[in-house]
Amino acid sequence: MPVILQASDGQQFTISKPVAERSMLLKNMLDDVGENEQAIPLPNVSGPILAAVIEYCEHHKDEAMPAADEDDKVFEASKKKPDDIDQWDADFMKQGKGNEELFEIILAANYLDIKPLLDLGCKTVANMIKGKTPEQIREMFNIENDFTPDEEEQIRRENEWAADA
Amino acid sequence: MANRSLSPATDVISLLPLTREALNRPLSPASLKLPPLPSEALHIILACLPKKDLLQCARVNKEWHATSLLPLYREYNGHWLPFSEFLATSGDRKCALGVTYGSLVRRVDIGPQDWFDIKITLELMSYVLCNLRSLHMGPLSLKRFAGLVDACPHLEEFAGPLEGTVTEDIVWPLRKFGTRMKKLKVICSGTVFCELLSVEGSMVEALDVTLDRRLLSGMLSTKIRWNPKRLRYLRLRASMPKKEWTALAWIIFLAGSTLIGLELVKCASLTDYHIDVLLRKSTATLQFLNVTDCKRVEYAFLKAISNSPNLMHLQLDRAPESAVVAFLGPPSHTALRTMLLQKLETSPGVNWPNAIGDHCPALSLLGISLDDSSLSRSERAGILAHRPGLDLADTETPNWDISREFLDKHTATITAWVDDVAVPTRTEGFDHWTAFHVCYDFTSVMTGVPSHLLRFCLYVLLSPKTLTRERDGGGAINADPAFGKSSLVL
Repeated sequence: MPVILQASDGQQFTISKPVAERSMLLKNMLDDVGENEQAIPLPNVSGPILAAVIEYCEHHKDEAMPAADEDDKVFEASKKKPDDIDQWDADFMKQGKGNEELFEIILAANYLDIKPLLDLGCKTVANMIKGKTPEQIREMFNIENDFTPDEEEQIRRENEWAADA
Repeated sequence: MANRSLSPATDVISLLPLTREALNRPLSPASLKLPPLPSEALHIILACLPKKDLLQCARVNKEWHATSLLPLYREYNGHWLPFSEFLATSGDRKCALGVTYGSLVRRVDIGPQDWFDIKITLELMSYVLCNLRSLHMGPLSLKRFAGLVDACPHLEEFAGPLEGTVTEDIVWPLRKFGTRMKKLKVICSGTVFCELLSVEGSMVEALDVTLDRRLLSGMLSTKIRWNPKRLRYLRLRASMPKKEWTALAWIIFLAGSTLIGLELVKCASLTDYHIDVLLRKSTATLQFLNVTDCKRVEYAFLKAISNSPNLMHLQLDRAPESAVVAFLGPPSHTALRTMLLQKLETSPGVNWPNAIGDHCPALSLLGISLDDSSLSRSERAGILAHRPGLDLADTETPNWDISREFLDKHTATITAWVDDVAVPTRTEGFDHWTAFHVCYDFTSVMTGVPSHLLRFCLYVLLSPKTLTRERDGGGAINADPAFGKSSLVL
């Protein structure tokens, strides 16, 4: 039984159940609701982003699902190296995706609860951050610097010990 | 009225980019507002980064700063978030961070300057600090401390002043904390001190207590039931009566504590007898001894130098005059001084002039800090009374008795003896030291140099841990940087 997903812009996608179950959100929803011909609305995900997410899920549909223990999310990620990315995944993240698309994929992965995609997006961002100065990171993420000059100086001093450690 | 209502709208329209050129102009990066990353994603991103990049991320903004700390401190300090990080954010943020990280926090450091801000926060967060192991903070009332002990079942290290008097509802939490504390650094009254230690099965390993003057005479000896078997480091700054010192020393002795570090500061009624009792079971383990401003202690450090093979750090600030004389003995030597200095300069990892202190006349006479200003008038008079021929103003030609050749010759002889004795068991440091005992006792008899002075010189010149026979140009023996301060210091 195929599953129909409806993006925020009304675009509909028909996918197989194994592909849909890559998302823990959809898996739980299908378990609760049962098989249904109605489209599942995903108001937080736009059509192009949902298409990219589905492409990723299609490619990985036969892989075993990782343990989805909420508390271990950060710990597991910290054990992995950001360079440890599969070639297909690396190409997938590169294909015409700017910062905005990348961020939206991360948001979608987080919303749909697709842990491997969330990890992949985060690793890609982590690789983008590497070697950047705070100013470059702010520019990349469009973040406002809310430190006062005194606070900046204090943090610089605090960081000295860690740099030497 | 109508004109006034139109005016702002006109102003807004005038600001809009109405020209075709302006409409076709690409948006600047700053105007492309990226959606904020969910905190989980930010955690994962930062957890992937190496330390160097994390430090850069911590400087981006306040949110990133707080989030960057989690992987950073987990890596370097276990689960440690300094509390000041919470304070850098607004009130609501503090609560949010507290709920998010509270259960992970194992150590909290609060500077005294943050104290007023933290009062409310602590109350808000106390229920999530279930993993808190260590708390360093400003003045704390006993009542609040008791509340913290209840809220933090794993709290085992506390540093900060405790204020207030002991009441019935405080006694139990204090004693409860006493059963699980491992490190305690506290400024408190004698009453609180007694309550903290009036427990069976004490786990305390490091104790650093400054007692105020409210210790009631006789309280310690009658009330305390402390059994400090695990005590390894003790630092006391207390004006207790002699009787209380005796009681405390025997409590520690009877518990069989083997101390690694002992610091006694401004203990007016403390005597050599008390230190002797305190250290009776610690001769082999003692690494760090500080006896500062204890006017009645004269020989404790000589005993420590002679008896403790592992002594690495000796601090003797403001030693009494009689101790200075006991330390130096009548004769000394220019060459010896030179060699000592040379040894001190070439020993990385230890800074003997600092370790021993600028105020110690004994080291001043050894030439380390021969500065008249460092000697009080009475100290100067006392030294001159015992050394009439010594001119303190002339540091280059003091009245030394032994020639450099004499010392060089005997150093070489002793080294050869030690080698003969110790070579078969070179890996055992204590055997080296035993060999030293035999050799320098013999040398002392042969040469007439006071035994304790000779021991001190040899201790500095030939560390018992390092019997490498490499010699430098000056004839001194190079030593490994085996010195270092006890890591148990709070």
